[in-house]
Amino acid sequence: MPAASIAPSPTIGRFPELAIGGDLNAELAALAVASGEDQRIECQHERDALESSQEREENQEISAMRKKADDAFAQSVCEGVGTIASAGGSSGFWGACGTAAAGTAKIVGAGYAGAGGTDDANAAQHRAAATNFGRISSDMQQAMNAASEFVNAATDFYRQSAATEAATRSAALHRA
Amino acid sequence: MTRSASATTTTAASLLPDAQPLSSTTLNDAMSGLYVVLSQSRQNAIVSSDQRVEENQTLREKAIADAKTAIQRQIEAQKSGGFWHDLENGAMWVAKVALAVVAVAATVVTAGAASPVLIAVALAFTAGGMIVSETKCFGDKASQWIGLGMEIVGAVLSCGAGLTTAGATAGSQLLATTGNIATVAGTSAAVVGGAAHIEGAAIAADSQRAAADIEQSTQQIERLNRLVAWVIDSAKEGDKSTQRSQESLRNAMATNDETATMAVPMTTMKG
Repeated sequence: MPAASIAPSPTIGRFPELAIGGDLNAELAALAVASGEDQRIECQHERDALESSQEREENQEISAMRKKADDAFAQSVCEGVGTIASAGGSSGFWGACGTAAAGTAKIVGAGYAGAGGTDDANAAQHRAAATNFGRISSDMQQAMNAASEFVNAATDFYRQSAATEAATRSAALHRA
Repeated sequence: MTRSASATTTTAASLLPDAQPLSSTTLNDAMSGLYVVLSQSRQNAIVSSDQRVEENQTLREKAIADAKTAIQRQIEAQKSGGFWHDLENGAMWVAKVALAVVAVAATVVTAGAASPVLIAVALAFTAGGMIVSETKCFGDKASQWIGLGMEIVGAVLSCGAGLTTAGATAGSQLLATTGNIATVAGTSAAVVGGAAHIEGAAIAADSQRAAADIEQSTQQIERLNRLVAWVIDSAKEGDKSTQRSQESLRNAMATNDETATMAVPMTTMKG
């Protein structure tokens, strides 16, 4: 697996005129601008991907919350049916049927109660993941801003350099 | 060839600024032209950012409206849920008391006879004990013990009533009727309680779904806020960058003009 290069992207390839221009300051500024721009774009892509992941996790959290509501309702239906069934009596055939139905409802209700607990855990897990993605996304946004600042600094450097050169030329002209 | 070329021309919206007619100034001075293009680009970027912010604002308003609706739904669910919860509690309490009455009546009837007064006292103690246990009117711990004591007294009295021989036939009939009525009442109350439990659960589930909707709207609002902040950041950054470019261009034009101005007298002198 090839090692990642520390050097910036082939700037000269992108600015071929710099190779023959001979302006060292311009070349340096262009390298810095290209590197900063690459970093900014990379951070932006990363941030967008993280934002999508965060959105996905948040949607899954909401789904888990809704499933929890459904499971809680199903559990309560089982409990209610169990109560009604057990009211049928405690002796005789119908009493036995009622007791059996109440017991079955209790077992099924317990299953839904367990599912509700799992839903809670899932929602919490997705919430935590979404928060995590959000934090990294925010970091990426800051890195993007830093990259933009770097590009601006490089541009400022070149502008000052060009201004100094122009002033020098002007002074030379005055002397001439 | 011309037809073929025109057929393949793309109709997608260009990212470049709208083409401006070339003025004599633009033709004569490339740097001025570049300055005009930069200004136009800056203006377009601002307009584009404005549009994105407005779109997000519309979505945000919709999310806020959704959240308000969900909150309203949750409040209504909590209100009606309270009624069904109270109904369930009341019905289950009636069912328990009826069950106790049935138990006392059965004990006494199977024992053979009873004094109506003694039975009434036994029932009063049993039911009173249940009420004290349920309502906790003497405090948490005291109510538990007082309720238990009253139920025990009720049970003892009902056994005593069973051993009493006086008025055997009349008492037994009365007790059997009371027991039957209590059975019907208890069953009905349990059915009502079970149905109220299901109805209350449906409302509670709706309340939970509303909570999920609120959470979803909140997340969407936060997401849109972030996006708007990023658009504004990006627009500011782009604007700053364009301003820098324009400033650089202005400086270059000034230098160019200055050089040209200085070159004229030199040329004149040499000439």
